Amino acid sequence: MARHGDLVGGHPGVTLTAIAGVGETPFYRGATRLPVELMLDAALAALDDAGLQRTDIDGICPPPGYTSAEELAVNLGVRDLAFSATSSLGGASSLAAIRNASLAVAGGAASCVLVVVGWNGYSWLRPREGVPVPRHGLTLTSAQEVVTDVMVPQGAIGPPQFYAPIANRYRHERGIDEHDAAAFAMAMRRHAARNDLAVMGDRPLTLEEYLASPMVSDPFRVLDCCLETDSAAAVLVTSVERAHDLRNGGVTILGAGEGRPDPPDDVAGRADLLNIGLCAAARRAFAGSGVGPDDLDTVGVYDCFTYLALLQLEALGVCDRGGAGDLARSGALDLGGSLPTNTHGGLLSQGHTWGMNHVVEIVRQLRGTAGASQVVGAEVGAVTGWGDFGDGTLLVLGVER
Amino acid sequence: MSAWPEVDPGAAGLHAAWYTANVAAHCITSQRCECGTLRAPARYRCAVCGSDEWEFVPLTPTGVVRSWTITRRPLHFAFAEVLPYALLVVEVAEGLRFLLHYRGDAESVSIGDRVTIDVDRFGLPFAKCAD
Ligand SMILES: [Zn+2]
Repeated sequence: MARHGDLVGGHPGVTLTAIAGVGETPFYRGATRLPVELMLDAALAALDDAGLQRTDIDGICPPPGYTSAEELAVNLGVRDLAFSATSSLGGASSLAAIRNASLAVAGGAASCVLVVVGWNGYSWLRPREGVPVPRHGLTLTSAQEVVTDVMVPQGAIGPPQFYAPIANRYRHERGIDEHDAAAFAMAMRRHAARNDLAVMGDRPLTLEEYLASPMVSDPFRVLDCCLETDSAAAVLVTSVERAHDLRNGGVTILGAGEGRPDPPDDVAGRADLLNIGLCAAARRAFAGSGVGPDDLDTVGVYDCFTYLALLQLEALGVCDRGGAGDLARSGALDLGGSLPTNTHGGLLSQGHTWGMNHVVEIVRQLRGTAGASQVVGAEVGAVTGWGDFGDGTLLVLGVER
Repeated sequence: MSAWPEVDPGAAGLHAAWYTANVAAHCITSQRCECGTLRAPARYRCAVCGSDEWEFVPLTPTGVVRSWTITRRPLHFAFAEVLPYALLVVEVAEGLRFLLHYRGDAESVSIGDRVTIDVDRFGLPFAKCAD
């Protein structure tokens, strides 16, 4: 099996890139410091992990909000920033940013790019004394116009309502039900039990408990919805060649892609509610990567909601349409199963750092340093991203043993 | 459940113009490009031909439910009084699809049902039990 393709992101003949360092903060529920401060913590942790200096950074990809490349640069002592870029795909932005960093390194625009995300996901709706509020929140995108002017007046205020029609159509067309969703949620709790950082690490979940969980917006129960945390995570992207000589080596970026549903800003208007952005993103990321869905040893899936995580597994191609429920129920997603998924507990049970926590976990898996959660012999992994109204991203990673 | 809180949607630009057109037509409308293509939500230009010449035209005020959700927990104080309420994805005969709240028994609607589309005094469209 091919392990390292000679293509990156579908662009032939360019430098192969790698993730050379990862870092993350704990998952706070009421952080006493600002998102930008958490992002700096994560950045320094990633530098330490890689054995790189702050001044080695010459590119920064910040998230769409809370900070800027410039603010991060001045606080890291980066005096000659050569590259910055921000993509606005909501939660899918993390992987889009890694792809931007990879393309920048491959194209010679920068040699070492910091990709960082962080937010006050818990505290922004739960203000309390001693928890600082960032002056700048999430950057609103053009998609916001349709939300504000067309959807909010209908009573569609938040993500559970925006995505619920997708989930109900998914149930209707492909026969997915609440027992499938429950199986996914319970698998995440089992993974979290092995993860020291996981918010739900000491809270096992039973089917009875899941089914008794109150409905928020059908078919989403409270326990179908991800956690909200104040947290940050960072990765450093450089060339494979440079990463090879660093403290932990590199995890190669075999492929990366992004995609959007049509139209991206209006869920109701779509001809096919199940044609999510990940469908196109996966085609782009796998093309030329040298690997396919069948080669994945472990996966990180953006589990903002159980049903959407299952739908993403189908879009990723690791099972047939309508097959993700059986996959979850069979134990395949557990440690020791055929495709251990979100071995850190995911957004549902570890915490929510826009899926960058999934990247951190997959990098550790491929390095072989995932501790009690280690998937034995993991060499190829993938991470999905989901954001805004179904935008999708995919990152395919691999190592040579 | 009390009556839906009828307030001005507070929209801007093209979206505000759409609500105004709905009031004037006493029914749900959409943009129609000079090439004949219908579109919603409102856009500056036609995705098919690229033209910025268009007008609002009335649509068939009935449709078929393609998907739904029932909101049962307060996500915003403005809608706390009307819980639980159904949101429907409704496809009209012209092929356009809209997210519409349902004024009626939220539990009674399922995929494939036919509903009637009406507009309130601010031009906000909504679904109700088929006539
Ligand atoms: Zn036209």
